Amino acid sequence: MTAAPRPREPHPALDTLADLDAGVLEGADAERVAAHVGGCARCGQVMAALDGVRADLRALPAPPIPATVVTRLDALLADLRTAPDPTAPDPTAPDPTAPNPTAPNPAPDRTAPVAAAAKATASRVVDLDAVRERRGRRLMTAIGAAAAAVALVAAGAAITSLVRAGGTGGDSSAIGGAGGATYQEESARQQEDATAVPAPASPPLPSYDRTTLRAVLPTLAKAYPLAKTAQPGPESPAGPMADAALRTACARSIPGVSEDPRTVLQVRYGGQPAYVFVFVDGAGVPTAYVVGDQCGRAAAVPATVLDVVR
Amino acid sequence: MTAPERSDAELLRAHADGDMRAFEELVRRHRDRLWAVALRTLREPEEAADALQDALISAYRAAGTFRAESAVTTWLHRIVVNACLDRVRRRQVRPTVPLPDEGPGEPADRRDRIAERDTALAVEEALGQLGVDQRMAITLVDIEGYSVADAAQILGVAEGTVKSRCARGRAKLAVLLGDLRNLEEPAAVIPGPSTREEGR
Repeated sequence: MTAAPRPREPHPALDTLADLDAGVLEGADAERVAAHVGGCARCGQVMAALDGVRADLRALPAPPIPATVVTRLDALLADLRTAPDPTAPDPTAPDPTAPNPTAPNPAPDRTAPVAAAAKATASRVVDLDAVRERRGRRLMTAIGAAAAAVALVAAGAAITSLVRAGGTGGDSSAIGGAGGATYQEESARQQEDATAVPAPASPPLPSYDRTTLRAVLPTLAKAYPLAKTAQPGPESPAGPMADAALRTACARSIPGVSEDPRTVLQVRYGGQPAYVFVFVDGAGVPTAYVVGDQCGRAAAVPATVLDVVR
Repeated sequence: MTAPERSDAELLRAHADGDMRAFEELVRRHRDRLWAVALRTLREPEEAADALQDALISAYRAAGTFRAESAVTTWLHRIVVNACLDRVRRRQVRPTVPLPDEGPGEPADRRDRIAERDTALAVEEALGQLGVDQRMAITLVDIEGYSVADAAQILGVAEGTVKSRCARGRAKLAVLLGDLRNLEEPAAVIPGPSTREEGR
């Protein structure tokens, strides 16, 4: 039923006018509100304001993609092009457009077994500029996105914090990895793939970059539980971090981290010696913090977070 | 004479058939828009970059599953949107990057500040105060120019939901931007019809 506008008829709510404007209202509701708007200067102003909002939105300039992000994506694409199994086109891959309200990430490579993912790529993807950029950006927690997008270009300072204790590694045996590959086998295989930096020490360290670490992250803690990883020994996957005091001190020095890691691995990351600390939150979502190899060497030497991978 | 530019669908098909460069060309063609959607959704450049990376890896691997019922750009945008929503969910579980906690109120000093600022920055800031669902709908429809039908496909919701989210988001933006300050009479009395779905 259509109601004619009356001189003292109350105004529709703003949301109702916006619904009319967007075509949400139908039938009698639409007719009633439209009839009111047709004879009401105030509501006409509201409709004009909504038009103005749309015009403002249309006129927004596209945010320029930062050069560091372009570099990172180019590196990713180059890496995907050269990587074998885990990131190759996969006709059986789950549909990434399907809604996935429970899984933390639709990327199918997150379920790739450690051994397969470990073969994925050499260590050339890591974009240290992007890492530095991320570190800088984390310092600007109070800055809005627009301001941060500008400021991050200049921000290059590393996240650092003091390590409270030092320590050294001990001795022990290796453990088996996922898919039947032992830690040493996997390490040796990855070391063969690593081209940029020669192996500095024995045993050879597994080499990761952002792509490969992201791929194996869901399985790392399971494949290398801390109870075994941190067994002291020259071939311990945790290396010197097998020392509990050193490991704890280093973990506590990571900003925003207060819990104990599920696992720790001594690795090469982007060609650099580093440790990967894996934490798992209450929802079961793992996060890997990649820290420099000086973490915990001495109380006065700060730890450097090279990357955070989720 | 240069070869004619391949269509998006041709590039994706070529990628699935093993053309090592096709996916890169496709990404380069659309990365600016994909970035804009990711950044406006997540409001944090690092998160947006991570989401875009996740999405591209997913798209790379799932290219063979693409069906021509939708445009390649719609498909890519949907993958990016899913990657962004994953990150939003994770932030809700473990909020490492706090979202703006200001409500849609309209304090006078805020209006004044907005009035002093460049319109685009003010609009971007106001967008940041919307909930992610409304912001994504408005980003796709009002900023990126997608039809309601395409936006609904990208977001995986009904067209009516997209319309409703856009409507309520525009209303909040009108308030935040101070466009309703000089109305002749105070606000509304007629109760509106029942509100449609607001959340995801």
